[in-house]
Amino acid sequence: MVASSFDPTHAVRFDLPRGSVRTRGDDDRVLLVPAAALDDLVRSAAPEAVEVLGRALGAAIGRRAAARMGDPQSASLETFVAQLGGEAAVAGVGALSIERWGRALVIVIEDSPLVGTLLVHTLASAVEASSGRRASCTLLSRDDRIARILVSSERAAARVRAWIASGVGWNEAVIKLHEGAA
Amino acid sequence: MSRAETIQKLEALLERVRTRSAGPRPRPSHSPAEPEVVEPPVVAPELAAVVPIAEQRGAGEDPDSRERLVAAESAATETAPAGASARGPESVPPIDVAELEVTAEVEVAAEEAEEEVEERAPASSRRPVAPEPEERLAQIAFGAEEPLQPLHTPPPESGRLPAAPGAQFEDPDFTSVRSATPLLPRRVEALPRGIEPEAVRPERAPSDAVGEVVAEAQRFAPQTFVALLDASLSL
Repeated sequence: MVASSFDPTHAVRFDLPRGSVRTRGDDDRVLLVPAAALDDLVRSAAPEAVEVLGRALGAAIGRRAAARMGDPQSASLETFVAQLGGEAAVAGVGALSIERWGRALVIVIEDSPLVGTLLVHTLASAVEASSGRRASCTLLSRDDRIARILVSSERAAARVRAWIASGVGWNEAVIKLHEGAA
Repeated sequence: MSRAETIQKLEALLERVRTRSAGPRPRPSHSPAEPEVVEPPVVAPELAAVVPIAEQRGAGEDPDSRERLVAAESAATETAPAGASARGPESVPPIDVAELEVTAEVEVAAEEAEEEVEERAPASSRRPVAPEPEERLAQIAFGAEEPLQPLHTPPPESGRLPAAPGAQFEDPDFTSVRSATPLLPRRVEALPRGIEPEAVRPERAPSDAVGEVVAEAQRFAPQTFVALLDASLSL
């Protein structure tokens, strides 16, 4: 039975004689990179490169969370969010939680060091890697502390971006997204 | 009564008049406002008693004129000034002492009445001519609480009257009904700047029967994260 809480024991292993850092589960070697270095990279890199970087970061988080859940398809909301949020916290992405706005899934990230575009691609890839579904993420809002990201189809994401660009509030855009839906 | 007795009686009367005229005169206790009621003290009735005696006098000697002469001499020596006495008794008309006394008393009473009349306020005036001395001293010492109203004020000018001062609503029993006055622009400007709103809020008791649910607000309740993800992806 999968525990609904995240177990952080030995989530990261530091091999000081070899000078390596590895994560538990996939035994991948990781690198402690300053967040400011990532910011400089995102600002100077092409959008495609940022998307590639973000998806790589998110995929690793999603795979480790899926490994912890065993059967992510049957995992409850609480379990799924606990494991995915735990892995995101170990990676230093921020504190993850979800909000359900009707039928829409919104991921909330608090105190993330990643810039918006990199964060969106990271979370989209993490959800895809953990759930096995193709998903598109859209940044709804962000302030100094909290970022909200809508998880939806590519078509729905395009509509929401258009509404927000036209001046519609993000919460109204989410509500409008349900108009005409079954 | 014989003539000698009459003369003796008259001389006694004259002596008594002299005695009375030389001494201090008693003040009449009657009201100075009624000087007409002053009666001659004793001379008049006794002179009246002399009248029938005069009818009995003889052709040679006139005792009445003698009595008058004696009385006039005494009155002249006592009442007339020094210059007047130098003219001699022939130039002085016969003076009745009783008339002198009555006239003097009437004059004194008239002077006293005039003094009191001057101090009194006229009956037709409702305002006092002068404030009471104690009130006057208190006003000088501590100041008057209200400005003294002039005794004679000009009549009010015609035209619009100045606005009355604001009513004080300190009396809890103030229940008078007033008609609303139109809000003129200058009255709006006269309103104080720092007006704080006085909020009146209704009391709302909590109740769970306010809304009527005709359908379920949200049937969607996913059990798994993937189910929620699928629902969100289907939007």
